[in-house]
Amino acid sequence: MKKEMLLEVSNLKTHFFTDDGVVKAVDGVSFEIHKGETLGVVGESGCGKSITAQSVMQLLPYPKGRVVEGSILYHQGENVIDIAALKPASRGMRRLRGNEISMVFQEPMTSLNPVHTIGRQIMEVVIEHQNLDKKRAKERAVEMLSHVGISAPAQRVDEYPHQLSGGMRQRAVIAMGLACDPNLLIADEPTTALDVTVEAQILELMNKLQDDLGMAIMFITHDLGVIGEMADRVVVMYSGKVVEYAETDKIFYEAHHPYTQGLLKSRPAIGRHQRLVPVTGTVPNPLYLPKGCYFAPRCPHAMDICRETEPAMFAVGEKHWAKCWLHAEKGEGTA
Amino acid sequence: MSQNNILLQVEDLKVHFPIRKGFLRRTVGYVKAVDGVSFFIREGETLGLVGESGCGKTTVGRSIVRLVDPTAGQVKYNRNEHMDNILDYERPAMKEVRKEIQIIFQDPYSSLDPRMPIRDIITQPLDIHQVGTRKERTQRAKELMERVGLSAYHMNRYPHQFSGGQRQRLGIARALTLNPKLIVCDEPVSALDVSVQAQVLNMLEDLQDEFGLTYLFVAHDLSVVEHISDRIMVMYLGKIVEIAPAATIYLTPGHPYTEALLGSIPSGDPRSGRKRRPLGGTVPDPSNPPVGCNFNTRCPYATDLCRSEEPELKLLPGSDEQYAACHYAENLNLRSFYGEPQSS
Repeated sequence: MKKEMLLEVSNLKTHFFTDDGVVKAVDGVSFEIHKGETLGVVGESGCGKSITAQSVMQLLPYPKGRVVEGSILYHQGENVIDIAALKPASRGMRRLRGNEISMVFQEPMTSLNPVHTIGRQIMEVVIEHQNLDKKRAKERAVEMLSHVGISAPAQRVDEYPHQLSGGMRQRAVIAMGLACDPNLLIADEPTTALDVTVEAQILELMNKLQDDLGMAIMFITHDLGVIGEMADRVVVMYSGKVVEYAETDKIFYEAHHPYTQGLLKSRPAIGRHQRLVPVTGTVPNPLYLPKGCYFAPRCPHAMDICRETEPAMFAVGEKHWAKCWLHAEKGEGTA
Repeated sequence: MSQNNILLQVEDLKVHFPIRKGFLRRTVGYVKAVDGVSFFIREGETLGLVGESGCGKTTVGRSIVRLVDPTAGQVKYNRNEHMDNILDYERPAMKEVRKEIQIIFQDPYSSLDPRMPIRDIITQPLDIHQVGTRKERTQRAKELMERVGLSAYHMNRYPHQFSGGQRQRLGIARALTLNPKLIVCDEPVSALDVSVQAQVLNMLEDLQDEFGLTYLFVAHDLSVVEHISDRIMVMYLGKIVEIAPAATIYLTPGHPYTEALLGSIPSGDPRSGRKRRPLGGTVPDPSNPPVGCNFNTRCPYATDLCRSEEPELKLLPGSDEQYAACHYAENLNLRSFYGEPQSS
């Protein structure tokens, strides 16, 4: 059965024009998200995973950050909209943002407005997008709060963010993100700031809501453990590029790119008392990227060609691509 | 390991922060950040300390270095075979002890003075304690930088010129300058990326072997703590709920809270088939903790006894090193990290 396409990102390039030069934060990223599935985006800080999300939402810091190339095709039924061609403040984009595509940010303290009640912040979204009057909007806010497991929602709706705990705030942010029944929820490190017990609660909640509402999730995180539980497919990013793209199981058991392998080996795992094998070195400065493959200076398998020419995404298996010269013989493919 | 000397013994440590309100800043109550904590650390071992935010784990670490003043209790430190309560020390004596007890902080961005070059940051402890000549101090800084994997060539740079992982290495170098015996590591890798985190963890292990260091390793990430620790101490709402060897605790947890923490860890393995078992509810207000066992509001096994009487931390039968504070520690068949109940 062919799954219905929801979002197709191809050759996306988002660059930042800073005083020191051009930072290619996202440099030729391609992936797709089908209806109802979860795509995990994993990588270390600075790899461009959050900027990819902000590009899809058209929330890039203006005027420094700009999508300079590529397309972000959003499938709205029969209609296909290229988000990359829309202006951030245009009507078309505003109709999508918060309504069909919404986002949950990392820090629930900074992504909520401290001077408005959480109810008001949820109401704002539904009033804007769904033409509800204030009374119905408030009902919707209470309904959403109870949906995300906040007890006594009728009282909580009139509380301010500081009155809620971190986990409750993140639930409120999720309620806001889901208030308009989006087709795609972009979750940018939604549990990174939370304790492990609260993280488990939030992840379970997101899984349950996905089952109930059927939205697709783009789940961005640096934590492979979380990816293993949440994602159907995974994009691994390094220095603004996708280095590996496959189903979750394959990423964990048949990782082809040395960077993915390195990430997996550097994680401490419960019950496995072996010395960790870290990836040596550090992420390159985005202003002075190395020639050839960006990972070559840290790669244990680097060959001469790696330091000269950038590898393409080679198909290494069924729906599995790795950007590495080690797999060149298997033939080139596009993701 | 077990015949090693005890280096640090903490007895009934309490740190209560006053809550002040109103115009006169009257004290209206106390947040009992740490409420009656007792434990010891042996020479050369790593004691892991885990718990959720607000459980008091950082405050315990800071009390040991006396960055916060405990309300009550004792922190006894082994100086020449003498267990001295360092909380009684006046400034000069405390300054001497500080040479032996150092701390590494969580945030490598805020714990290094942005206006000091690296050389000064690393040699500052030597200046304060007047160790060596200026030349010797610089030499020591060079050695340390090389030891933590940084080039001594960069000595005159400032912290902002280094990445997060490099800064954490600098924080470690600074902690090592005076050849300490005990290092309190307060979430030293929480702010780092996975690949860098592994580098720093390996380095901490190497340094421990090389210099015979003892660590109190405070962290919220259970897999990191389990990896690096010999024994693990779990805190909840200012109290210790369990202390056990690292290898024991994830297979046979002795307290329902430990079971819940283990159950919350994402398995990170799509084939394991392990189901996460989230704990319901939230941590109670620490200024108004529940009566009886602190954990009774969230515990699936709680009974009336738990709601009225506070359990004591006691040795579990059949073990010489596992302590748990639960009325039913002996009877509950708690699940391991993998999700199976213990064989009974």
